[in-house]
Amino acid sequence: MPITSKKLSYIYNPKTPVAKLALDEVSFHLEEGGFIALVGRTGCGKSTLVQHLNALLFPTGGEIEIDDFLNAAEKKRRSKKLFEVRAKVGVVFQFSEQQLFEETVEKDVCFGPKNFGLSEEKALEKAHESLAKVGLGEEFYKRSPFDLSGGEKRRVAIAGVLACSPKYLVLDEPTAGLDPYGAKQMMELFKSINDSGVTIIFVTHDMNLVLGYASEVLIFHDGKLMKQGKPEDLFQEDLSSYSLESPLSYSFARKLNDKGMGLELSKCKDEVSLAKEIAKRKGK
Amino acid sequence: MNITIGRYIPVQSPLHRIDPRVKIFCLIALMVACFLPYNRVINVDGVDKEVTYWALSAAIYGVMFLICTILFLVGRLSFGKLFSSMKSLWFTVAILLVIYILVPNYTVPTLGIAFKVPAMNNWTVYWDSFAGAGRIFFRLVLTMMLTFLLTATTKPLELTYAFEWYLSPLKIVKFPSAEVAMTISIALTFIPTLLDDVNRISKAQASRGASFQKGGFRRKVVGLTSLIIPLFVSAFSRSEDLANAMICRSYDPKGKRTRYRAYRFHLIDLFAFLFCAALMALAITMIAIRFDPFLSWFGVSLL
Repeated sequence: MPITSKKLSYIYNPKTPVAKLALDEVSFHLEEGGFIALVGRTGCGKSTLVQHLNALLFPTGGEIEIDDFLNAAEKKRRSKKLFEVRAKVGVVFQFSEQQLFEETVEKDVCFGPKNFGLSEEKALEKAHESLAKVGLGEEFYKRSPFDLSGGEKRRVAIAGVLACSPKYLVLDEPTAGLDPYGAKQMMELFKSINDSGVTIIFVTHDMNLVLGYASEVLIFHDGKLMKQGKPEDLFQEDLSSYSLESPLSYSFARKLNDKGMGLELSKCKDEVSLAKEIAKRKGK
Repeated sequence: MNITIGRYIPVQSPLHRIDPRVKIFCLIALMVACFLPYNRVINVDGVDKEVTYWALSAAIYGVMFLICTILFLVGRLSFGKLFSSMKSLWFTVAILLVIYILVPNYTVPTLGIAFKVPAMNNWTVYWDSFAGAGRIFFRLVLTMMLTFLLTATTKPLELTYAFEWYLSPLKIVKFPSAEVAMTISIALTFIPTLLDDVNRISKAQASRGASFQKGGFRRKVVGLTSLIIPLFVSAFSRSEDLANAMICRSYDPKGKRTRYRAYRFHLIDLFAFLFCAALMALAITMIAIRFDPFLSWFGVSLL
């Protein structure tokens, strides 16, 4: 079952002088198994939307349905089983490294699964499994999470969410503050998780990552959903009105086309495919 | 979590324009009027005893509440946020009520018997217990309203200035008033930031199935730990960052600070000052002369 949103609206601090409309009648439909990117400039409502996905926020208008869980503005229509949807939708927040609190890495990762009702041994098993997935070996199990580096901390936080075996994994700027190599590794990790059948929804400002990994993009601007579609198609349009930059390979290919190169934009997904396209033209 | 106490609300209003020094004075004056003991003397078995004058207390709290309400409207502040943060007060009132009921005759009862508990050796509960709990409730509500009025209409920077001004006489005895004022101002400035942290971390932990309100005791404790430890960690790292940032900008605790904004006394300041001073003086006078409005005006001594 997929995610469907109908005229979803959210206002922060309603009926006060500092009221702010964060989401404005957003409607969309997402299929299962996708690798979905949410993009848009800071303050456009992406993070607010993310918090609706596991019922941390309740809409002030409209509704969003995640499988059979309905998160609606009207209290009566809202589904009651918050716990189930939180187990199903794992959210990794921005600066997730700040959520660690246990004495050891292992215990911290166990926190989620234990909350969702797994036994001690099962939780530990899950924890080891997900720590392995994020690339942290046995030597980390007994270390204090506060002694780790920033990138390692974030991996632990992600493992903590993965250990709850979510069906949807939502990531709010997972690569912010990581070095380019770390960011790439992180994205590869999400790709492998996606391949194992988990739907990934991620928020990012890096269009290169969007083009490289996402199967679908949602572009937000001032709380409104402006565009939804495949990244290859969307990036062919001019996105500067939404304060978005084209991915590097696209803008490079476009510059070449201006000089009469005649490259096929939708095939230039990254450095490798761009090089291939250029070679193809040159070979002719 | 919905905590707005302590947050500055940026709107234009006469209250926002009043000099912060005057505002602090007004806060203290109005608080004094709220917290004074309004007593009267009655004769019990030939001995004069001082008892709480419930009717006068109720009247004073009513008037103060009215004043606060008017100030809220003048300051263009919303009541919704205030009341939602008062929800936790019910618990306090309930506990107070239990204590007052269990402690026998904490004062000479004047309001009559509410009920008796035959099962507990005819334990007598007087209406005074309820009135006592109610009085503390009203004092808390008024304190919250007044402090909310101050912090919502005064920028932290202005507050610091006022604190420093009030503490400046202590400089003679080498009291570090500027440093204390800076510390207070930093604490005030960071209340909203820390609340944002609470919000963010509690959301992150809730996504991992933590429970802060529901579930068993153990579960709640674990949930709370998962909130408090990251909060401390982030508070410490923030303070370190802030200290570094201040040092980088050559902050010298001993240096004399200049001000961007000059404070001049306006008519509205004088008015606010006189109004609050008069209220406080009136309250003190009423106690000093044992003023009994209900006897002198209506010819009856109620309650």
